Amino acid sequence: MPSSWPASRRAFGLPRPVLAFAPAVATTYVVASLFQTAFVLAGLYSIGARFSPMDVLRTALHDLYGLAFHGMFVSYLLLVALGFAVALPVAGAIKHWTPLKGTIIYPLAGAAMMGAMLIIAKTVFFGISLYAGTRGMGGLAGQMLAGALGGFVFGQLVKARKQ
Amino acid sequence: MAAPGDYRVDTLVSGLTQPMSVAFLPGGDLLVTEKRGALRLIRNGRLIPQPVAVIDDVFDGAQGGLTDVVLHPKFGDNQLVYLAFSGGTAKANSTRVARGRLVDDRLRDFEEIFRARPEKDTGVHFGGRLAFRQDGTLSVTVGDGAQYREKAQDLSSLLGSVIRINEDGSIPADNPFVSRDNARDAIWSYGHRNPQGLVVDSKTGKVYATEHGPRGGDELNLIEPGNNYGWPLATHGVDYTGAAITPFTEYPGTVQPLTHWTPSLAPSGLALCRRCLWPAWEGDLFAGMLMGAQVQRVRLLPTGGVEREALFEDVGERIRDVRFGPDGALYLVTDNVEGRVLRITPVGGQE
Repeated sequence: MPSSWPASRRAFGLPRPVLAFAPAVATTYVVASLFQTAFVLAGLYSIGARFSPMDVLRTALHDLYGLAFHGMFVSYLLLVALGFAVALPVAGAIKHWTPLKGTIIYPLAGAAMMGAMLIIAKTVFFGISLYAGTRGMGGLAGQMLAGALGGFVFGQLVKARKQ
Repeated sequence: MAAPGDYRVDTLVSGLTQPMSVAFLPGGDLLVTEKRGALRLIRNGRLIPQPVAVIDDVFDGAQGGLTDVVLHPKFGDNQLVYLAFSGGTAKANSTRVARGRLVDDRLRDFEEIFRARPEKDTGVHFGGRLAFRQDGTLSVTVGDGAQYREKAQDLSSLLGSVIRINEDGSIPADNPFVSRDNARDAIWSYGHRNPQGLVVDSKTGKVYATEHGPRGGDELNLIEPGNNYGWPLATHGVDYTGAAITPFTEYPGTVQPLTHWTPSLAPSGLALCRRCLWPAWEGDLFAGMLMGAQVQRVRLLPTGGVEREALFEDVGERIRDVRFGPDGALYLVTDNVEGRVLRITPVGGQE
């Protein structure tokens, strides 16, 4: 780990942006998974399916585990982490060279990363939204909101630690 | 379990470009469809270089192609050949049915007789299998288009259904939803995902279909009029992403499959043994498997259960279609860029 980070920007021997990365990824992944569940169940509801609260809870927990550890191609959790690994440093660089504040730039980066990732995946997979909960604009917006929340958490943690 | 030594595998023809289906002509010739739209003729064990026809309207992107060929039940009288294919463009495509007369090794009077609606903008889940029933009507499988899976429960859409039409494409008056408002008259059954296997039992008249599940939940169903086969309300599979498709493996008002393959083997062509070269397999179903690279023999037990057996795994190729020939042998179409038609016979059989 670079020793050039000033002490004010380190915690537990690590640069603070590194420590803020995991909560950002976790926030986005959990919210994104919940949105995925919600939009899939809404689709089923629209064709007449009815659910008990236990059905909803069971499906949400299934998705939280399945999207992370049971994907056929790639883990959604890993995709989110890789996406943030690119998007957050880019956002940091933009923040450094522009007057934009972290509270704006990091959520924007998270949302853009999620949107771009899902649109690229749809293009690659013959026009199919790989994540069924993102088939409509509402579902896609939900995933982008999840990305924005992760970016927001990142920005807040970095800022708080700097203070 | 049949050991590899129990049967003999002969390559009837190789060098086909992604073959998808095979049909048997009365004189011993075979017709084979290729994904890109060519209808080919096999004569005396040799592939005739000039195609019988090339269907220009075939959309062969992704899973699309010239998916099936069957002969009219009175082919000897009318020379009619029926084709199923995905037609259109990447932005607007559909499962379609056409027919033409086979005259002098060429397909004449080609006409489209049916088109599944609505059109879709995905290149997958076309279904695209044909089978004539004993009453002379034609069944066609139509996939859900993947992106539109809820449409499989929508009777105003043909996506995710098995349809039944007359030989000229008109709708039989006794189809189950003819008198229902906002329902497509052609629908025979619904709640299907991507049915790529279809066969009519020549003895009982029963219709069976196999369909691809998502990740798990491949199904074998007995197709009966008006039934809802459940997709996507109920399935034994999950999405490729690991997410749930539904909380339910069963749902009120939907029909459970006769059997399901979980994990998936990806069933394509379907055949049924009636007086085939294996008397011990009389009445059994044979499902070609793409991902599983095998044929699954399925016996429906009187108790309601099934007995399943993996066959021909030593062939080592994805199996796109399975048919019993008029000679009782089993013919397999392999799913390769350079695909083959294989003829399988029992060693020391009744030939």
